[in-house]
Amino acid sequence: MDDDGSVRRWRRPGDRAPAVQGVAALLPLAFLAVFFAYPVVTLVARGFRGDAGWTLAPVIDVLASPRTGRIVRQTLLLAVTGTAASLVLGVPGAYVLYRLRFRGQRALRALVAVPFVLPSVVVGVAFRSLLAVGGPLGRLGLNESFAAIVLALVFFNYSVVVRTVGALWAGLDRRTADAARSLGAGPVRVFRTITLRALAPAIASAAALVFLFCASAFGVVLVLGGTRWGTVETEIWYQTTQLLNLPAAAALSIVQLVLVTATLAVANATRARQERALRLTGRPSAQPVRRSDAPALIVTGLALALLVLPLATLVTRSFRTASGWGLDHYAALATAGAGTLTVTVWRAVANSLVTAVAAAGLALALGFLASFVLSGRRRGRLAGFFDAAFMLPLGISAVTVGFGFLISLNRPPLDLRTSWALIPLAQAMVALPLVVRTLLPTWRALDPRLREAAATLGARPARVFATVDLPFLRRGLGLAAGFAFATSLGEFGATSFLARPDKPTLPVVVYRLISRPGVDNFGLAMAAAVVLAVLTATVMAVAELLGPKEAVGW
Amino acid sequence: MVERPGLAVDGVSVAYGPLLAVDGVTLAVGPGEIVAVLGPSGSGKSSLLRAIAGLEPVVAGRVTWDGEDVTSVPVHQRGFTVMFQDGQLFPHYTVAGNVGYALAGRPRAERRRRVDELLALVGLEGFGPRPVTALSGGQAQRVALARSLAARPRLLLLDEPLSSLDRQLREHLVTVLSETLRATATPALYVTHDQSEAFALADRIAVLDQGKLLQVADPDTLRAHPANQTVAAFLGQSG
Repeated sequence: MDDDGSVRRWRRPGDRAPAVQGVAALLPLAFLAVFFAYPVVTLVARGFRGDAGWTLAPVIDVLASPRTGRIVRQTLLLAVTGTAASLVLGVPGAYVLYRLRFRGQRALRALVAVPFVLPSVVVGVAFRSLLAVGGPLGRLGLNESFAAIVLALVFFNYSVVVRTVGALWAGLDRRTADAARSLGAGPVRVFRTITLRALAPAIASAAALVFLFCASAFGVVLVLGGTRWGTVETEIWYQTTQLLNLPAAAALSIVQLVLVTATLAVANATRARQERALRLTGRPSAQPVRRSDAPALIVTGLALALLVLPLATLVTRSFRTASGWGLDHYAALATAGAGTLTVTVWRAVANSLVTAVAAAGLALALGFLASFVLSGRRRGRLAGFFDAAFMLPLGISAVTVGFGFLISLNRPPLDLRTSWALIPLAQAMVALPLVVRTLLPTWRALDPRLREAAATLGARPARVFATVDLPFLRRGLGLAAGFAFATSLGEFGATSFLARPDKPTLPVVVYRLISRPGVDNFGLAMAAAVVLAVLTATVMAVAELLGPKEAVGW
Repeated sequence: MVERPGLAVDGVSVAYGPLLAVDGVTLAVGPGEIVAVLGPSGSGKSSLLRAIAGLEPVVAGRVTWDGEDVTSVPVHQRGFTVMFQDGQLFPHYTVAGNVGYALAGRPRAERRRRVDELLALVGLEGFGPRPVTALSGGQAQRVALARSLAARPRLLLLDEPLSSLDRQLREHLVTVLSETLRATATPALYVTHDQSEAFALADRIAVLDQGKLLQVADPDTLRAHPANQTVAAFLGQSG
């Protein structure tokens, strides 16, 4: 068989010319190089450079210090506990919300999806309002405790478990379990030998993702951890902004990069397995609620209470004033918080909106191109490189981005220190992986035979793209735009490094208010957090309406 | 007058990696002729069809139309349309949008007239504004047929177009297909594993097994004089 040029030039409909792939890849790759690779390399180099040249001394010093040991132990302990608790609550939740069938189920699924997109400072403030002295659960004494952080982590990640596991569970062919039952297996044995086996890839995949999110948690830990609890992320922030110890922060960033990359490798491996497993599922078969479902229903009810209670408290307390109830805190949004802030809260809202529009637009454009390149047929070495390059920042930690920007983009050749663009650039970098991960499955789910059908009907490649690919992708684009906008709006990890005092974003303002003493600051923080939450939820609701009915992945 | 009017396939081979799916097949479809390619699953008949359409690269041999080599002409310029097993209707277009897809660039009035004409031909008058997602399996295949014929292709390639339908519907649609193809005088290559479809439709039948062409003959000859044991066995057992 000849493997010469004539055969290699031959392309199926939907196969793209290498030139098209190359041009599309150029822009996202350039962006990654300047705003991801360059800051990370600078940051790592910073960690290995002493006064007299290259040295391992600062890194070894930091790694050997008891404080670092404590922080790393706390990070791992929080991540492991948060993951385990999310799974224990989330697997029954997946069963109840996706395998059973009952009235109001869709509304509950929508409710569960809300926390994941809420800004971390909002979640932090909501749990503070719940657990602080004077709050509904204030008597438990959980404020600034390990338990408080774990609860907040579960609050965030519950939906990741429920949706990942639920999507698979809903599609499991129940006849397999029926066959086992007819062979004499009891319910427990059926669950252990059939159901759990089938769900294992989804559970593993969800666990890896949740671990990744917990290990890189920043906003909630900063707000809820007080002085006793921290993660590597909060420690980088503390060393940079409070102690101005940049070498230590750089060394810690290297620790975080290793931790995140390792987790990401595991997450990717399990995700590949899950995608294989999903293809094996048979016809879906939801079942009505039975008496034996009581334990799962109770656990799910508790979990839903955990989701609703902090948000309800946050809203309630934003209306509580010194003299009873009222809109005083909302009225104060037009002030600079009695001198705590440099601008009014509404001004910060405007800053946030403008920044988020720019960041989401950028992330969407780059993510569109990146997912276009990634969804093409892949052959050869160069294609493998594209793949790795785009997947690498998926596990990026926002704090690493912020800190990396801070130390690398502040001097020639690229001095953006005073540029307004720095924050949207950082937010776009944080949102980009979400956009790619939302668009890619939609693009890959397009049946290639639809393109073939269009081509045999005489459509040129450009028309095939415009009439088959684009309409199909539109559903994913709406959701991706929502994710990008909501993520940018609530972004705190990177923005907290980069926001200038005279131009803060809303999450930065909320954090500043909550970390200052005073009843008025606290009330204003509540009101500002409610505004932020409402904005984010509205954006996501609109996106969900435009997007596919059952959202993809996480 | 061209030397060899219509489709000519000369010693065409299709490979997937080391596996030779189609092995040196030579076959012709003349003007207005319907040729069925009959073979068990895995015999390479769909690969042959895809190679003729330009959806699969040819590793040896050539495909010509009216004597002109089209082996390296891109799919969309060949003027051969494909009707797929499961229709592959565009879910985001209406019935009329699907049927009129190949008529892009024609004046709107002409387009509408042609769409109505085709829908009438396949027995679906008035279905134009409906979403394709609301169609039954049989209706969807009829829309797919109308869509394939809209731009008056020089050749229609049908890839097991009825095998996802139930038996009764299949028998009915074979008649619809046959009448439609005769009425429009469209030459067609009809790939199937079902010999009753092949015998009902085709002027000539090509029997394919393991990528090789075993016999090409008209239905009566094929039934009376199978070329060898394999052909006889295949015709005998799947009746």
